Amino acid sequence: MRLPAGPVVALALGALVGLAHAGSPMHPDVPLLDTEGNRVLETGKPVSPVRTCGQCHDAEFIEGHDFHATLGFDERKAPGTVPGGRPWDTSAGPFGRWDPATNRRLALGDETSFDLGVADWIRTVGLRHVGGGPARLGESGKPLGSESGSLPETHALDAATGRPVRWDWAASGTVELNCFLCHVAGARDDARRATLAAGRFEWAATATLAGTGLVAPAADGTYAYVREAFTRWGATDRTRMPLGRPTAAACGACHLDVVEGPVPVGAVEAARPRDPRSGGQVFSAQRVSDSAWNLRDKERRTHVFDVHAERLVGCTDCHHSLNDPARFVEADVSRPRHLAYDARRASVGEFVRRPSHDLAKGTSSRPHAASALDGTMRRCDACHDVLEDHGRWLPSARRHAQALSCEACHVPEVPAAAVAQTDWTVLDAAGRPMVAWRGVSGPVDDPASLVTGYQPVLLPRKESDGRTRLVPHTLETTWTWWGGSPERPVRPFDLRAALLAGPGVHHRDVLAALDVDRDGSLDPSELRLDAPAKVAAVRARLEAVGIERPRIVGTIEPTGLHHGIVSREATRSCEACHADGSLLARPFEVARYVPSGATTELVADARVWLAGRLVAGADGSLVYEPSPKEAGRYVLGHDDAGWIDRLGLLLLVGTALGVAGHAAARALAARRARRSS
Amino acid sequence: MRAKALALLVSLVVLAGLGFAWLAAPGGEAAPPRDDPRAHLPAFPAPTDHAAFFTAPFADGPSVTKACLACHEGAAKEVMSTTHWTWDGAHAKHPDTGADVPLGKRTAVNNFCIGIAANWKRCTSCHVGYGWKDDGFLGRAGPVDVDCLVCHDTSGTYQKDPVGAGAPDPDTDLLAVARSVGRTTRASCGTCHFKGGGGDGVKHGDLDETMYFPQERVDVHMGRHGLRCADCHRTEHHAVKGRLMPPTEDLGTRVACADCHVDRPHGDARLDAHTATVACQTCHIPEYAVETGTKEWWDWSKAGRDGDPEAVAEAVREEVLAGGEAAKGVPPRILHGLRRVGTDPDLRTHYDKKKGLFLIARRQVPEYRWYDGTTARHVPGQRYDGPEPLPMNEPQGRPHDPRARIWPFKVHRGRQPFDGQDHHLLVPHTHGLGGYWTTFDWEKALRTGAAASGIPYSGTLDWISTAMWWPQNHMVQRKEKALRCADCHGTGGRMDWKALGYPGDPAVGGGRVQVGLVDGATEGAK
Amino acid sequence: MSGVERVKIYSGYERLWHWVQAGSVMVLLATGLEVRGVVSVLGFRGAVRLHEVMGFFLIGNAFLGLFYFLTSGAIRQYVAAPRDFATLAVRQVLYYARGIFRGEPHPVERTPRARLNPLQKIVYVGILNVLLPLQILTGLAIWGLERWPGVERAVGGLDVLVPVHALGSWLFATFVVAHVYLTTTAGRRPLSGIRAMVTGWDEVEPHPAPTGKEVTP
Repeated sequence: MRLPAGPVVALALGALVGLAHAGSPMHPDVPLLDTEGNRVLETGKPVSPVRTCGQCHDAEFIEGHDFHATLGFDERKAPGTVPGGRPWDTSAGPFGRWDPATNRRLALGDETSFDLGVADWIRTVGLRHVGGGPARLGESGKPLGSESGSLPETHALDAATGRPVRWDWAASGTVELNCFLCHVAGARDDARRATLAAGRFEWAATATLAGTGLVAPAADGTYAYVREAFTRWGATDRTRMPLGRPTAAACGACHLDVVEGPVPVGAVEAARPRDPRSGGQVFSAQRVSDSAWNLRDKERRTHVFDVHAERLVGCTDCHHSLNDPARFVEADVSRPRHLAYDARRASVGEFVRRPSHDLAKGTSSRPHAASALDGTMRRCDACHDVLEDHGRWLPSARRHAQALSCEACHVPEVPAAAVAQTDWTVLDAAGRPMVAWRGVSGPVDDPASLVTGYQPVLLPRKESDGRTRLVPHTLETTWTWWGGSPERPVRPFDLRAALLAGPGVHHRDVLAALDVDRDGSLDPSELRLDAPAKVAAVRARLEAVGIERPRIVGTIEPTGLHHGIVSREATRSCEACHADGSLLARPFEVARYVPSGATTELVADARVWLAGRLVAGADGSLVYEPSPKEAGRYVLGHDDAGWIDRLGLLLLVGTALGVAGHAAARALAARRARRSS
Repeated sequence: MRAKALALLVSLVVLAGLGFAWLAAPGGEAAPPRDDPRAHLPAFPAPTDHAAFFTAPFADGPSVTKACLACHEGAAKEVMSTTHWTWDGAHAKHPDTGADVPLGKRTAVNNFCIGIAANWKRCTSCHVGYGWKDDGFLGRAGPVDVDCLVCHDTSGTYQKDPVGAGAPDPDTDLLAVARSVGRTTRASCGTCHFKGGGGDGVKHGDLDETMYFPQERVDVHMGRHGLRCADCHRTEHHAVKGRLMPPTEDLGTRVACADCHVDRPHGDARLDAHTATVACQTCHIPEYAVETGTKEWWDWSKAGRDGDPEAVAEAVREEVLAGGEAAKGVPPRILHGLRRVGTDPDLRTHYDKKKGLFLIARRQVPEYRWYDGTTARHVPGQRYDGPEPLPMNEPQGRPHDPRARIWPFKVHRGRQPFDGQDHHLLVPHTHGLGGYWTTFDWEKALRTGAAASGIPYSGTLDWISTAMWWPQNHMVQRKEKALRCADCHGTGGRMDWKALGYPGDPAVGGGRVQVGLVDGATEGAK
Repeated sequence: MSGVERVKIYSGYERLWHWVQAGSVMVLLATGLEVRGVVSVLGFRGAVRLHEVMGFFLIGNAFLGLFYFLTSGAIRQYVAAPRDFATLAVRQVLYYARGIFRGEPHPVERTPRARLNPLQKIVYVGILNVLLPLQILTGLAIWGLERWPGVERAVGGLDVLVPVHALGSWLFATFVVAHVYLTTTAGRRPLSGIRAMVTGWDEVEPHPAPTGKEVTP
């Protein structure tokens, strides 16, 4: 695979965010409008996608039917009443649910210990947010920045003092739903993120067009319009701003590792996945052996990363808009049994006018986010005739299909690195948590590190058809400090205040407790609280900065693995499961190490559970040993029959011994008889 | 007796039980016919060491042949009945005069060195005989004029004199060569076929000197599996299988992938279905000229300029890119290539005073055409009034014919002498005394060439752009490097569906059967 | 050798049936070990298929045997119980415990019409009417998991079926060990029993003078 001439990075970024494609030939040229509905070429103001695209598409309908925009904001509840949530969670979606891995807490209506304001959320977690919803409106329904608003809506965290300070919404503007990010081929997500991080929220949509030539960055972080790039009538044209269905690369701006085009996977970002929550899943038509990773046994792995990506199945083919007439299917609860396919469809025009942006969703392992959409996606058997194909070689194919998800055999391994553990109980000198990775030995940002990949753990999951199937997952453990009254996660600000004496320097108490080799600095192997004394030292520091009764809490989060599907390399041999080393019982490292005295458990809002035991590994790690029996399955060739086998063996051996003894006695007796006669 | 009867009954029950159990148990894997190409390789007799047979040195080539014929009596006659000797392939009827015109190398006109008439001494250095220095050679040559050594030398030291009309290079030790004879090797064929068109890799696009001992990434058959040419180009009685774009299908003389491989070897239903529409070569030869550049453009009209060849090349290139007279007849694809010379490491120009301007390219994506095995061959001397480029051997085939497949081609384009009055291609005298390569006088060269070739020259010289198709069969890549779905289908794919006759991408619109292109769809219905 | 009588004790079919049964059971035990994951010879898939094939084979053989025993009347060997059955059984046990070491003759004489001693009758009836049907039924239930899911559900799943089937197999294995050994207690020489089951002929010593203690069942 040869790399193209020319700067690899620019090309790679372009390829990563969107393969140049023609867009829909039907889309008319579009004048870009600002929030007041005036042409931006005249006013110079930021582009408003809602007004621009809303000229033809029902933007209000779209924003009202778009979980990507609302992220649970429209299903918010009082803190503590979210099913499976924490006492401070206000929704089950990414806006309102505490994420242990980032350890930032946005709680509307729960202003105990201010950590994230909405403006802060936009600039950190919200970099992956498409805009609109909570990034534009407050709880009251009025735009952010109006007089009435809760503390997180009006304030942001002052990084120096740790106290809330007013946020000037008039200067920053709010973030509108950004149609361009997904629908413009070649959209520049990096420019958008930079603009959001800089606090210039209203320019985010304009920044997304940075690669089209229509806008040029100005000195103050805003953008200026390039008049020559527009048509005679001040509109864009298809060649500059190709508009169409989102490509896989568009979804890949935030989700998974999507790589289209000639640049090998890993050429730019080494082994670190772009999406830290992806579990290492790569959605690409490239062969694993053609990637740029230093992958073990790479030459042998000539299969493509994902067979659907190879076969040109795009994200939106499965995760389609729920009212897309080409893909719409009526829900099972209302569809009469005699109708396999209802040919009545909405017209394409109706769809284009009011396309729902609620996308079909499978049976997630964390079901409460967008729970109304759960199970709306077609599963494998909607396209593949499982029994027709597997019935030819797999005995009891139907039984296997009832016990195992398709992914259990078709995602046998993930040839990439994934986050294994995030440890917020100590910080490095830069104030960051320690992150441990699975599937790579060596630093994840070093292209020379050996990527080994990992084999997922199979967890039982209750599916929409009522059956419990084993689904491959990865597990991420996060260790955090909780404290205060009421008990809340300790803010990173407070952690830094407690553990660091200044930028880049640890507090002397912390050094004293953790610096084992007495070299004055803490390297990664020392940054772990694996002894009670170390825990006590950090606890003392936290109490010194005012945290009451701090304790360490561990959280295990499952991520289902549904991409990276292989076809011929799927698990096929019976002995993979029906033998002693069955992969159904394969141990899976859950935590690289356990801080002294800490315990951890699976998040409460998961649809999967750990059927087995968590045991301590030899090296201080925490290992999950699955037990198929606990998951409700007896596995021939693997499980034993308990006391029956022991009894049977006893009988057999006993009889054999008795027989031997009897025979010996007979032989002796016969010899004695011969001698005497 | 009763026991015996019961025993028989038991046996029957046993069989029934086994059968029942076998039926009840799930069937074994449905095994597709296994692809076992090695089983189809030709078996060669064990080689005989010829070292003991020859002791005295040989005076010349025919002396060696005489010695060969002492044992291999009929060999020379066999060779003389093949195209390697006659340089005469199929025949066609001249569309204007109705005369019978042979289309083989002896009389053909191409867009490389154009024709051998009057240039025999140079061109026949690649003939499998000694002494073809004029038109009458074939009439008077006998068996001892067959060159056994050029194919059967295994010492690697046999060379033909490049301007010797087929005679060996005077420095060659013929005795050593004779003693080394054996089965043909890749070098036997490559010594001529890799250098067609006047240099390494110029002509075919998929044959060049990297194929003597290719790495696996150049060609998987010869690189990884060590196959020789004769393993696929089966030879019986010296008649070598394999034809390049004959006018008719001529199936008995062709080489096919299916000679060794089964029809559906992929183990994947979707890929196997492609074999009804796409030739094996299309997916398994993703690019040609993998290592060494091949000629894409030969502009004779720019020949004759003095000066440092690199400087002249650059000057001519700039003239062409500037437009105007110099760019007349230069196709857009070539202009695009000339533009990228300097920035694209796979493209370069070369200038030769004798021959003109070349554009040489490496690692190119082939052009794809329907091909049903027949070709519309331009007949030497045929009048042509159509648009440029003049197609010299256009592959025939339409999607409507279920036997046609999509094939990969290297298209060699050129600009060559054309009779301005009578509108036919001209054959110049290039090599030798009085030829263009010594006099740089087109008028003289064309007159002499006309006399030798029989194609008249009216005196009005014009230039015409031509195109010649070369199907790609070698430089097959290993299966992991084959084209995949996104290489052809979807946005960014390399196929021009409209040009191939499809209404749209067949992956989403349906194949040629489904969209109603194929006549009487029975075969190829999947 | 003089005075030794040769008596045809096993018919051709009986021998055939016995060895077919024995062979099937041995193969089933061996493949069963592999299915349980103890050894690895044929591979899991191969072991399961062979186990299933031999299982049906055994079923066929068992039914044919039943048919033969019923129609030929040989079933009497198993079911005929004399009035002093219990006494004889005890005597047989004592023979194995004591008498055999002292070179005493068998308490129960073996004739072609009455081949089985009481202990044998108990064990064989148990094997053929309890253990074998249990193995067959549990085996069929495991084989038919996919086509008769109701059966598995009714008995409590593989968690119940496999252990029961396993227990049966342990008992069969134990039986084989004991049975093969006990055949060495019959007949003049240790291998006489096996030889008789192969050739059909048993060598019977001439009867000693009647003491009044022998019984002819």
